[in-house]
Amino acid sequence: MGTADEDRRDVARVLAGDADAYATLVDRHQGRIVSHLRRLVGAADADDLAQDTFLRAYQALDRFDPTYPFRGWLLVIASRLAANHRARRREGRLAEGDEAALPGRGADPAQACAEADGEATLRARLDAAVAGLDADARALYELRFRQELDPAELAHHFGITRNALKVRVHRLRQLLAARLGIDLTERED
Amino acid sequence: MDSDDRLRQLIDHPPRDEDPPRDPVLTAQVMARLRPRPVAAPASRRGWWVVAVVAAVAALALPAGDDAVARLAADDLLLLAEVALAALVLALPAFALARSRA
Repeated sequence: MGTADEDRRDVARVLAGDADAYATLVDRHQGRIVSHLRRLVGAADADDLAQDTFLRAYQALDRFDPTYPFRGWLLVIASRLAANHRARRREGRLAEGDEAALPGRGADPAQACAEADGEATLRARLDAAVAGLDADARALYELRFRQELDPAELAHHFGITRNALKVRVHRLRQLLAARLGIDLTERED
Repeated sequence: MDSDDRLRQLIDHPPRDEDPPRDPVLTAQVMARLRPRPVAAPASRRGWWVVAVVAAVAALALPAGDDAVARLAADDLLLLAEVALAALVLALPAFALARSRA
């Protein structure tokens, strides 16, 4: 039985009243969720937001569409919570200085360009460019490219058409390329 | 491959971070914060009290005999309404208890 099938089985158990089955789902997916959140909000807040993600998912479990993978649904919930969290942080309600902990934050793309273009430097340049995106664009990039969610799945979770998603992804790649100072060869999705 | 080509590659295929190891504390904290999900009672339990009320009302209000329905008089109808109301009032707490145990 694959992970997706196990997820569907465990979700069904939780919906039937077996709350303990949810611990299995949390165990199975917490690593990826924490990793994703570290990218979006930094390590300091990732664990707390991961907890919130699983709580939010639990309360909304009857709205989960088992046609799509459970992990992708969790990642989208985590992304939305991260966007809200970053908005609150920008409003100054959270402690200052946390932004510095974000991956890529603090790295100056121009300075990085001046350094030798080793692999680590190139990755740092990309991280800096992604970190400069707004919350929605950043979440879309992480979900589509780093977490490799299927376009149809993403379009479903965002409540938009596949074509609308394609346009957003296209603009996002163009924006990143411009920030990195490169031309981009077109590709689908 | 020059650095621009590599950057193009990285945009479409950024390296994924290693997932941190499973943290049982996180799972425990999530489970401790869960509120019980409202689970719909099975149809068999949802409908039992409705059936019971209807049966009780029918048994009390309908006189015996072949043409029982035809002999329902105004008094019988009044009695029927009173018994139905009383049965409903009595059944509500039992229904609430059944839901809370579900």
